[in-house]
Amino acid sequence: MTVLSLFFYLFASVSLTSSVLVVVSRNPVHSVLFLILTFFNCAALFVLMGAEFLAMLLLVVYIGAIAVLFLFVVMMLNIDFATLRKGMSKNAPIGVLVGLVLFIEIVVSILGMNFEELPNSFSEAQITYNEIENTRALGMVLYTQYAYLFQCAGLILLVAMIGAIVLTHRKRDTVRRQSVIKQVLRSRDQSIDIKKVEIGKGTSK
Amino acid sequence: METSINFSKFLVILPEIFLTLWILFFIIFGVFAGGGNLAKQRMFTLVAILGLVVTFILIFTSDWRAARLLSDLFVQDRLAVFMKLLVTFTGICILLISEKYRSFEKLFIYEYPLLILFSVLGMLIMISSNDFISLYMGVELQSLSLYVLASMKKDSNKSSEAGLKYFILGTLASGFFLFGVSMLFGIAGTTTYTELSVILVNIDNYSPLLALAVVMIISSIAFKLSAAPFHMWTPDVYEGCPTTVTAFIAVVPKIAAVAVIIRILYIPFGNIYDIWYQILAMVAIISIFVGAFGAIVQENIKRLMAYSTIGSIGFVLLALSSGSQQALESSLIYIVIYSLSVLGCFVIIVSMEKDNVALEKITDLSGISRTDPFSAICFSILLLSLAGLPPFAGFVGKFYIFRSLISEGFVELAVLGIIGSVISAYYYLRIVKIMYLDETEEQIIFGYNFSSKLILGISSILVISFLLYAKSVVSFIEYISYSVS
Repeated sequence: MTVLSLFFYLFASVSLTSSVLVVVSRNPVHSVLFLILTFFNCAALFVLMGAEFLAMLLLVVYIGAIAVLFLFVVMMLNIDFATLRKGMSKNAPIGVLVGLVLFIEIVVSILGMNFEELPNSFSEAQITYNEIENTRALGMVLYTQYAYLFQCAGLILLVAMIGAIVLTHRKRDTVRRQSVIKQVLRSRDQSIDIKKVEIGKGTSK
Repeated sequence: METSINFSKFLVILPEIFLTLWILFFIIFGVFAGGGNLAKQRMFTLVAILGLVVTFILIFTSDWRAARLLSDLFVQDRLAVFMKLLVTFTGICILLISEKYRSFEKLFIYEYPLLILFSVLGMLIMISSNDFISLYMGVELQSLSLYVLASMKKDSNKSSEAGLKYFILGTLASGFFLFGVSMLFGIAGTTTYTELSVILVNIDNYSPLLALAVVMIISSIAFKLSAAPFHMWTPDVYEGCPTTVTAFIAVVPKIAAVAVIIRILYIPFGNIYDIWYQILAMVAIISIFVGAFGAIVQENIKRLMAYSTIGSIGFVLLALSSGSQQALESSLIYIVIYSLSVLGCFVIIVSMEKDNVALEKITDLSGISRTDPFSAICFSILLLSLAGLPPFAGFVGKFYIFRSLISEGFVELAVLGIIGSVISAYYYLRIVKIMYLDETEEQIIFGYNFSSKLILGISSILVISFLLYAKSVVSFIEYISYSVS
């Protein structure tokens, strides 16, 4: 138990520090790297809670895809981060104030909670699934009990794909496209020109 | 163990299944049909409308009795059926009126009707969700389509700005929603409405974590409803979007979100009324006053309609904050009247043009009573209805809201609401004054086609003659609202 809590505090403190550094570091590449560190520590926290599937998902999706994409965008695009940060010092106090109020609210409400009295609390739900590992537990319900949600999620991804195409695709006349019909219908006369080549002269072209 | 599936129960979700399949067919159809010209776009709109009409008929003919299926993720009752019918009907109307606007804004892409279908599907899922997770799925489907629709005019900076603002603030609201739901799950161990309504009654009502969860969930739905103080995106998005998309955002998602907030407040949070009524009343009063004062200085008619929406949503929430059966009825009556009036207003706003350029300044309307008396009369009727002047429909809606508030003992709220309503009458009347009394040198024209003229005429007639059939509407809404309690 003590080892577990030791690791919890280690991962939690590193993830907190690195998420602060994401916001404050000057170099955008450093920001992204700190973001990756934050994700790693969150994944470790998931493992501590026994949610190994979510941890792997976080690694694969957030670090493998999204954070790397961020890194590409930061390095490829010439974004002037100095002007983007201009409002930082002006707006920071408001942001800190709002964040602080929200933080205090959450702390107060969690301290004010009597977790023993809850009728159907989190801890109880965990016990029933303890014998089956996390991935299998998800697999048991994802395509049966929650098939409806699974289908809805598929539709959302479809909209995301269509949306990305709509917003980025531009019709240009200069682009040469392959027209299968045109290719198939091409006759021999259109494409081949037979010329008698006299010896020693060659064709004119 | 019973393995056979009861297929007759699945008929209830047939409209959603049909619309999904129709959308998938439409994607393939649109890709192969190509189409950068008007005739093909007409065909696409027709295909989309056909899909919505069949969905409408399927919803209407489905079993109206209460049922829950798909492991309690999906619920069917009279409220769901009614709101779904309203959403599909207004969706059809928006597709009909957007034809002309798209032709002169050169919005010749078939994804426009496609994304509207997606959005309507998301709203159907939202309306009949019986679980916070299926609600979230519906909300995301609905708003993701709207973000894309908002930034559809690619050559316009304002449209891109609108899309981006809507997207960033919308995802923030979704984040708050999920945070609230996760806290609720931590407390109760479930996210299903019907189970929550049983569990939440046993908990000490003033548990601060529960209050925080409720605040987060309500504020994220209030964001979707564009209620103040979560309204910041509304004027910019309304102004930046293509006008037909503005019309869509102003009417259809609001109906769905009202259905959602009614269901949330009356079923899972039904027994913890003490936690939410103050929040709702405060949001409502702020919305009414932001709507009333914000609209006064506006020069752009779309921004003005944004503030009008904020104010009207304020009245719906004000009604709900008393938490009674009567409040439920009055808010439903109000949202029906609101969608009818705003739909009519947007037929006119969408059609405002001059030399094939869309116009959106309020002063462009000056003196249209002489050049186009039909539009002037219809617009005046609809605006006066929104202002809540007797004998138009809006008056009846507001009357029922104030009556339900007073009968529950919320006299202060009713008085504040009436003050807000009187202030907001100023800017509605100002437009009427501009249309009838101001002189003009430049003449704008209204490019109606037949269907938009029909919708405008019908909505105006329905609004002006509402008192004649108010009784039957009210008794029908009573019948609808008894399914939730």
